[in-house]
Amino acid sequence: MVVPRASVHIGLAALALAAASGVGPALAQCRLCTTPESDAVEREPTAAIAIEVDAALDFDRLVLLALGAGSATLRPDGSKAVAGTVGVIGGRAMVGQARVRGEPNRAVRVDMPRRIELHSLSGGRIVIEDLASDLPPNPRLDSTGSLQFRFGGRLEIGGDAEGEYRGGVPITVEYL
Amino acid sequence: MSKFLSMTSLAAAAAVAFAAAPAQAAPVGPSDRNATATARIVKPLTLNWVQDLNLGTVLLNNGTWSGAVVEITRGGTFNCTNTNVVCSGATQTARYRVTGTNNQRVFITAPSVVLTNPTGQTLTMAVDNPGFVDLGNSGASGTEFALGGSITVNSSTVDGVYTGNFNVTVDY
Repeated sequence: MVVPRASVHIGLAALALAAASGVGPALAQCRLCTTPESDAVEREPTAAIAIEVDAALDFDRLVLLALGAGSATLRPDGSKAVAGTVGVIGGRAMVGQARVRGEPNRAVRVDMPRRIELHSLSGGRIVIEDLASDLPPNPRLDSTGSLQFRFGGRLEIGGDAEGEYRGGVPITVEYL
Repeated sequence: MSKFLSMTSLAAAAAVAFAAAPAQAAPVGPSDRNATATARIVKPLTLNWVQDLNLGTVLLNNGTWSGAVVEITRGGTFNCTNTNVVCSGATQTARYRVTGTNNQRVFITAPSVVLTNPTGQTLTMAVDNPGFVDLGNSGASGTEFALGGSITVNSSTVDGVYTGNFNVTVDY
């Protein structure tokens, strides 16, 4: 077996450098030894996070004026709109409302789908599109550990859709 | 002395055991919940006239009197019991037919009706309204409901044929 000399020389030099570093003072920062400045914000939360639903998203009664496509929109600010074959949205329609509870002043992430399906007992299906909330871009629990938000969407109807419909809006919250 | 050492040793062992045990972590994982979304989709209601209400003919006796009630209930029962009036002729309730989405409750609004005779005198008729009707599986044929009415006359009521119009509205 032949060992190239050049390789041997390089290996020795490396060992020498390593020995010199071990003898001299450590100049590199020990990241595990110091306390990062961001620790107060990013430390592990001590309180559990929870989501409570205060009010369901309720489109109340929608009167169809004809067969065909239509929609009813309930925005998080409570405003309503109808289009197409949907002539009237009931006066008791209301946006959904939920509340996050947890450690005060913590940043949180709230996830909900953009689209859900509603089903009737007779097998009918309609869709809520563009589910949205009034949460700020970077939601954070307040000083009491609470964050309330409202959510709404656009209900799409097509064809003969008479009936009572119900569906679920899965909401997940977690600390950032 | 050996007994004391033994106890010290035991305490140290316990301390080590506690230190080795992991700290109890708070349950800080994600939390989820299902909010409910609901909608009730219905078709427009239609309301059609079926028949008029008729209180028949009311004959007023002489003298001075007041507060004689003549009525027909929404169930069709005619009442004309005051001795100062004599009632005759055919009577009937008003009837309407409402159609809409099956299995929905429809609420009926029918305020009092002002009856007027040819010379402009008026009588106010209170309406006996069922308040609501359930459509059930009525489909396209719909469901009928009746309205009754009552008037109060006195010795000074001017004679004549009194007529008026119901102002009936229905809503889910």
